[in-house]
Amino acid sequence: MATTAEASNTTTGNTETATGKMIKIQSNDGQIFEVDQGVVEQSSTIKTLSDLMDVGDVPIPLPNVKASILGPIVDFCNHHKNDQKPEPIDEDDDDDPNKDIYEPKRSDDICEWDLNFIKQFTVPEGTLFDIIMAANYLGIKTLLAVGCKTIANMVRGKSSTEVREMFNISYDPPGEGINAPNAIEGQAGTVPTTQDANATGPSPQPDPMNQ
Amino acid sequence: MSTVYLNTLPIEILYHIIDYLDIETIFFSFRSVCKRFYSIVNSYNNYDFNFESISKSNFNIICRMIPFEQVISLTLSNKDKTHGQIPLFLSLFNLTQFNRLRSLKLIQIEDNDLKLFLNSIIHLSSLISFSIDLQTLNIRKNTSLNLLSSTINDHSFQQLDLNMWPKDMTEFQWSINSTINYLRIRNSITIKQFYIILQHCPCLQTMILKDFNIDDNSEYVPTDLKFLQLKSLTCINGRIEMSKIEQCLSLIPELIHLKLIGHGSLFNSTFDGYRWEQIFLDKLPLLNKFEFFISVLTDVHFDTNNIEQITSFFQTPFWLNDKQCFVICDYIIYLHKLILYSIPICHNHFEYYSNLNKVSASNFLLKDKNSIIMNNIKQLDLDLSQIINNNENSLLFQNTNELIIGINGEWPKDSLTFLSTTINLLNLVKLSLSVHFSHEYMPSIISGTNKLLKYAVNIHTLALFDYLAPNNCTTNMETVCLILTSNIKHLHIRVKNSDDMKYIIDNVKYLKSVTFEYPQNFMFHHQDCIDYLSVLKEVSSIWECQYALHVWLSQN
Repeated sequence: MATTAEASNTTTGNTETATGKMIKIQSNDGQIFEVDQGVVEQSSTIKTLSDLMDVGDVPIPLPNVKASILGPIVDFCNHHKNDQKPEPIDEDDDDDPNKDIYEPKRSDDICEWDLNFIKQFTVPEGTLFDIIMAANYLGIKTLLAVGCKTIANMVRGKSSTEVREMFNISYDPPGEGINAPNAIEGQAGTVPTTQDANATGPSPQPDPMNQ
Repeated sequence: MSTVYLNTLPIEILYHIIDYLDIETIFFSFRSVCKRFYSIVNSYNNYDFNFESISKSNFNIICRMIPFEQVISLTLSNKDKTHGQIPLFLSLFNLTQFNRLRSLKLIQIEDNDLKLFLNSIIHLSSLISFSIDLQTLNIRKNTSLNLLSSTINDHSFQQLDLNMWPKDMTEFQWSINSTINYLRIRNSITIKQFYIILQHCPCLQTMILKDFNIDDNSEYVPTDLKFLQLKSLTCINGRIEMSKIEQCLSLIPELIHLKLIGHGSLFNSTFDGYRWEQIFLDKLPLLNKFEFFISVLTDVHFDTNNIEQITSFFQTPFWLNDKQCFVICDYIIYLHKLILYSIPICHNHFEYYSNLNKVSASNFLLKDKNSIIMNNIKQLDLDLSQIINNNENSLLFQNTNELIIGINGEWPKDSLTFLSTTINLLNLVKLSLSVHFSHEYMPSIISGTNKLLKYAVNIHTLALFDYLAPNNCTTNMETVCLILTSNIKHLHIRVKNSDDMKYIIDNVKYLKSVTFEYPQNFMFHHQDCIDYLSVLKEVSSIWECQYALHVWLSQN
């Protein structure tokens, strides 16, 4: 039997609020969340479904997301619904060659609230991947970015062995020959036997592979 | 328990994760984790090859693996720390091999190398972002400037970032370019040049420059013609001259965003909120964001009551309601320095002074917005001797990655508590320390620095300077070794002779590079030092530049 979670500050049952029409969404384990347009606008999937289906009071089923993940996602979207520049969600611009070309992608710009939010999801329990998968399925780009940046920050500077241990990945040798990862990794950080004083030198920046 | 793991994530999500990784992690680590990652790395086609901070050895290895057609962004640097990288790259590759390249950034490139790049750029139709930082002082007398002009004018760049000398900018020939929408010029330009650029770039929406040349007073610029395309203007690290700014703003009435960072004057209204309000009402009806960080050194008799008056001009409905512009005015008493800024601070460098050293006023209640004021500060400068820990601190500096500390005497007690409660120490990667290298103070300095480095575990670069005698060299190498911890991989110190260098190289085995600086007024036999260092087996490369020897060490 479905249960209803109050996911906004408004009273459940009242379907019109200051932020517009309220919509119900249902997790794959039957829990119903009521969200306003500010949340809907951040999810391309929910927005598309609500536009296509005249759902009325019927909850939109989200078969790929369980309540323990959907609840925090609703919290995330509620927190960000008043952000100044929400990313456009009505078009899939993943292949847009102009996208983000001007600035290198940064992963050190996760805001404090998002950092604390993502900490509740972990690698050992797999919930960090669940939230990323759910963000991808629901088309919430800001949350997907926070999740991917978190993973990137965990991977950066680690050796492949450390990455395997951190994420419990079993070793299957991926390549052979001169470009084999083992060969490359073995060379990383070593110094060529012939030194040219005029050639480019090591940098003072982090060179974690050498550690 | 979830059934999803990192290695079972869909490929589009793994691509998204790779978007945020540097090439060294991708090629030396991520690729080797498992067969699937190896395959995904090989098929990923949005590579940003940024060689700005890569070691020589890793540069050599990665150069053998560049998937040319999968690279969309390339950054090469000839700075001291990566000296010689650009000519080495040119000796290995032809730029036209990167046929999907969309962004190219060349840092401190030499004139001759630039010509080679410019000749190749013609064939890269996909290139839309181009950034050059010219090392050559003056290129007027050769053909590079003409070639650069014609390349820029003929190509469909959307974003352009030019760091060239003002004289070269004067000679630069603009022709109509309907694609450039972002232009950064890292030097002063004249109002006339500003006008010409707007005339020739009808799609220019964002412009960033240093300032308007204050010596330029000869050129007449018609103000009846308006340029509606420019929406955002930023002036960084120059002089903020009101008459020039007003002239400029008269040309661009549809500006939405204005950012000014630099030196102002008490005599030309730069600190006058009423004047700014009038300018914006008269000239910029659409402006919705005004950010500024303006400073000036005042007369020693400056009346600190004035700062209340300065902020009072920002307490009108125009500032508080229409523009939502909240400002702070600080007066640093012992420096006689006046600073007026909007929050959050739009500058990435900040000098911190405790409340006992300054008088402050604002047009809002400080405690309401305390948490966001310093979010953009990357480089924090503070004199620890002047800081008195009165438990007023909150974690102000969340995103700071470089800490510059001055200590006049002993390492102050409780300062570590102050630092750890004020700064997110885990985000720090560089520490610059100015201290007294005297026996009297050294024990506490060594102990204090060691403790700081123990907490700030990600600091990998340490620069040491003499607090009171920047032109002398009192640095004691034994002391330096005691200060260092194994986290430090890159060191910058001042030395007297080759013995000092040898001491460091012999005794600190975990360093990857050292910059040995020598005082300009010292009789320093640098060639002897180079000869000496060249035969050491630990030394892999040496580069001499501007009273410093940059030495890179091989891994032990």
